[in-house]
Amino acid sequence: MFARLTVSLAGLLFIPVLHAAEQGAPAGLPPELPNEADFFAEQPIVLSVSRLARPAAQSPAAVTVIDRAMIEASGFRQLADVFRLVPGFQVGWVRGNLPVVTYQGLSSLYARRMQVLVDGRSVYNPAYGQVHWRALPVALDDIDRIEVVRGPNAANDGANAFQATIHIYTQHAALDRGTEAALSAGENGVLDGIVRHSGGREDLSWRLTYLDRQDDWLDSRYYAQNDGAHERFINLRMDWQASMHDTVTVESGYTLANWDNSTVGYTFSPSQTTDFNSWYVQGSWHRVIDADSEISAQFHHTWTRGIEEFSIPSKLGLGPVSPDNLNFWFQRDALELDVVQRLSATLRMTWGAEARYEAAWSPSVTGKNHTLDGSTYRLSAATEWAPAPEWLFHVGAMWERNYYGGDMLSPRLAVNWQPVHGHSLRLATARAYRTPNILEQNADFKLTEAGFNLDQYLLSPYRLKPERITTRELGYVFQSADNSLALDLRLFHNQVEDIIDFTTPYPVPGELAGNGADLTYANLYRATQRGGEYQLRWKYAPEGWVSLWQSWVYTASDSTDYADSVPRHSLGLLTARELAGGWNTSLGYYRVGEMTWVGFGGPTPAHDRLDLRLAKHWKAGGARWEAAVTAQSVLGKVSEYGPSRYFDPRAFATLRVRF
Amino acid sequence: MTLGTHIRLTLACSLLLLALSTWGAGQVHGLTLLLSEPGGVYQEAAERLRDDLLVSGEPGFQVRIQNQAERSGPGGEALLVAFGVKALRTALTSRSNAPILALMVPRQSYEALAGEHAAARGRMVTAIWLDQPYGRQLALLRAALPQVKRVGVLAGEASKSQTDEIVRAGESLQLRVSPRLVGASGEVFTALADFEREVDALLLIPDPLVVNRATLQSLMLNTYHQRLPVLAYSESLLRSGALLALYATPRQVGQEGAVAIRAIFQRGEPRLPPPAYTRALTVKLNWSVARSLGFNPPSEAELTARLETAP
Repeated sequence: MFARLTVSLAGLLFIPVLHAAEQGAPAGLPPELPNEADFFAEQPIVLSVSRLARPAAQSPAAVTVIDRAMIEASGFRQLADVFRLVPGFQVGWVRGNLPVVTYQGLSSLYARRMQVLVDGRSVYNPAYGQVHWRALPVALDDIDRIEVVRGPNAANDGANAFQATIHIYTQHAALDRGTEAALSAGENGVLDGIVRHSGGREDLSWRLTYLDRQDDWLDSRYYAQNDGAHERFINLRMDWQASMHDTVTVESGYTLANWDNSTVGYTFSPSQTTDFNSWYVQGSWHRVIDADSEISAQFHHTWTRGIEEFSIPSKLGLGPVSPDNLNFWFQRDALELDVVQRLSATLRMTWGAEARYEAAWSPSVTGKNHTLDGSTYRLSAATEWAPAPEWLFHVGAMWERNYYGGDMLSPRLAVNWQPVHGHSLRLATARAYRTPNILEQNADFKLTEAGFNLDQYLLSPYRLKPERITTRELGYVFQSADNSLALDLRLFHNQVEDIIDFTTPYPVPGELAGNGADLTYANLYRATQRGGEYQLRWKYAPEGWVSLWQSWVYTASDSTDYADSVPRHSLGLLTARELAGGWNTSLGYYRVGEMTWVGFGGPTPAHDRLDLRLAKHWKAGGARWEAAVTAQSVLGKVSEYGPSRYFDPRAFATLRVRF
Repeated sequence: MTLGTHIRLTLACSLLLLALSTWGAGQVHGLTLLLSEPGGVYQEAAERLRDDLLVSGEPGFQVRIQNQAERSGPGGEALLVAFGVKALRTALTSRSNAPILALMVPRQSYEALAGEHAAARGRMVTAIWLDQPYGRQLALLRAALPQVKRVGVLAGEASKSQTDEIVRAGESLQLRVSPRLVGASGEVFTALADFEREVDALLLIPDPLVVNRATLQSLMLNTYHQRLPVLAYSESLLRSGALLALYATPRQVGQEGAVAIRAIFQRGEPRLPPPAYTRALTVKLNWSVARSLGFNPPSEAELTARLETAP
């Protein structure tokens, strides 16, 4: 399918490319001398509007950009940890295979209220709502930048862009040509190996990445369950400049993971493990019409499977207890079309359409031994109008028809005012919806033996409504004339309604143990959040920079669980400096106030984490080398999810070569 | 009218026409505008040159536009104006003795060709080089982005001879120029990696080894990634992703050619000035890239004015 798509796009779009080098130099001249064609030949637009990061002063929402320098300085090995660098984000490790990433709390071990896109491909699990962060076949080394939109952004980012949207952009295959290999090893079983090769030929570039990563995350002295994790993945990206105006990108990856313990959240046996695999393919075509206009179409397919098998001792002596597994699979197929158009000097418009099919099979927790599936359609449009250079108005909306949520309209209004260059104010309001996921709407998880209902864990007796968020915000963006100092400040007010969660035990006829369904999904709560956050980045010298961010959130809710699920205050600091002789140092400090993860997490005390990194770069034998030592959590053990799941101090060393 | 009167009148008219044509031969200069390829930028420049010459009210020029592939034998013109490298080569090897003015030819190609052909045959030949002088390019960089102190240059085999001149031009503007020599297109990527944190901007110079189909994407993506502003030498490279470009348009080439031709024929017999860089300049900014990288350079008009008034 993928091959057919590529070939047909190629045939459809190929236009001969005129280039100086192809024309050849006139006879009589050494061939490499420049001629006038070098000055006048047409060239493709490489940095098209979709490849350029948007200036914060023109954005309708608050955006945090994490670039390569920040990722490198942080010393993080895991993608989930990188979100510690974003104001208002919390990262907790339930276990080594189960990180949770949420923005402004309100999360259980399944953080369900964010859209996460890797090169435009939505990667959250439609069955349970969370992202399998460890299993994403995205090596940190392959990431170009991460843009995090803080606040709802459905008008631009589509469905599920509820509390925030995470855009992960991997590097274009034409970047960083060559081969790179790195090995990391250290305490707590850290053993990572990665090989990347990037090559190209004329209009075609490719990159192949293979990663093998393992560790034992939580300190076994405090957390009795095994949580070793080991994953391997391979990922391919190809970028093809098909013609002067057309580019085709194809990406594909496969992950194979072996994790101790459950990834669904129910542990029935100490030897319970998860065999996890996932693959995806995506193809996109971009036609750049001019610097401000482009059209793109994208297709992607993702398939993921988890195998968790165990045995539960018989309770009644009548036979085996069912279920004996928490196996699941899900898939997502999507076809998207996006258009950016400049209608006039002052008016720009983007619009998009998407058809998406999601399916899941999870008989143990849904009680249905068949595939649950549905299609979602969306249309979205956003207009930007700049009546004067200092004003920019944004009007946008997304209409969505979802298999559970029905028809929804998510509008957004924003205005940027830049009275003086470098100072900009933003006023915005937006609404977004989160549709129930497949588990929330279909849960029916019980232990049975010989047809008797031993204990009902989960049930979804109600028709659920989508959750709704309405946000109002005031933003201020400062950028110094020499770009050395940037500040982004945001004051916000969120109203979240119809929060889907578990209600009190629900009567279940015939249940032998327990007092009804332990967890029954329903639209239960509402929460109001107000607060402020800022991020500041200061490049104080060519060799050094510091990034500082803080967040204050006050949450009121008719559920104390939700009111307490957001830390009142959090702070982060990341700084890096180059020293003479190829030495680099960096320091990351992260403080999260007291909070309680919804559900089983329990109260999590305020915690501080300090990470340090020292690296040395040199050249030898025609290759570039880097040796680094990273020490994590050097202040002592920290528990980020509940009171006693400790991440203990650890260090690892990395050797990297590039040629 | 008798037959005799008729013959006399015809004879008188013929003599008058002959006299007029003999008189005119000293005043009307035949020009052949020789194009490397029909149409395109060559035609645009040649037509501009022709229109400027003819519309200026001076009746002294007769202009013929010819594709170099169609030229056979001497053209009998007073000046051959070659547009582009191919046309210059044809002009240099043609059997005409007419002096040659080369337009739209980069300096290096001109020097190689003129050295090869004209020296042997003693032809009068000059040029207005298509390239912008390095001093002007660096002055633009300085005017547009005052924070830039260190400039990287990628040079291949063809342009390595230029690097000393670029370094000297930088010194006079207090800019430290770091040239990197690349032996093959593939080395462009490692050279760019070397530039990371070592330079504040990249000056692109035309070298087919450095800028070509296989390197362009990587060049633009890597420099953007490194937040390196790029000064390019063509409008299409600007649209491709450079932040700034300085170049002469085909129209400007034609206009400048017309001015030069009038000067050449100012005293009747053609007198060729020495070859020189173009004085025409167009400054263009890629505002999308500039804004995205957080640069706020002065307007194109202001930058142009600064360059035009520069010594």
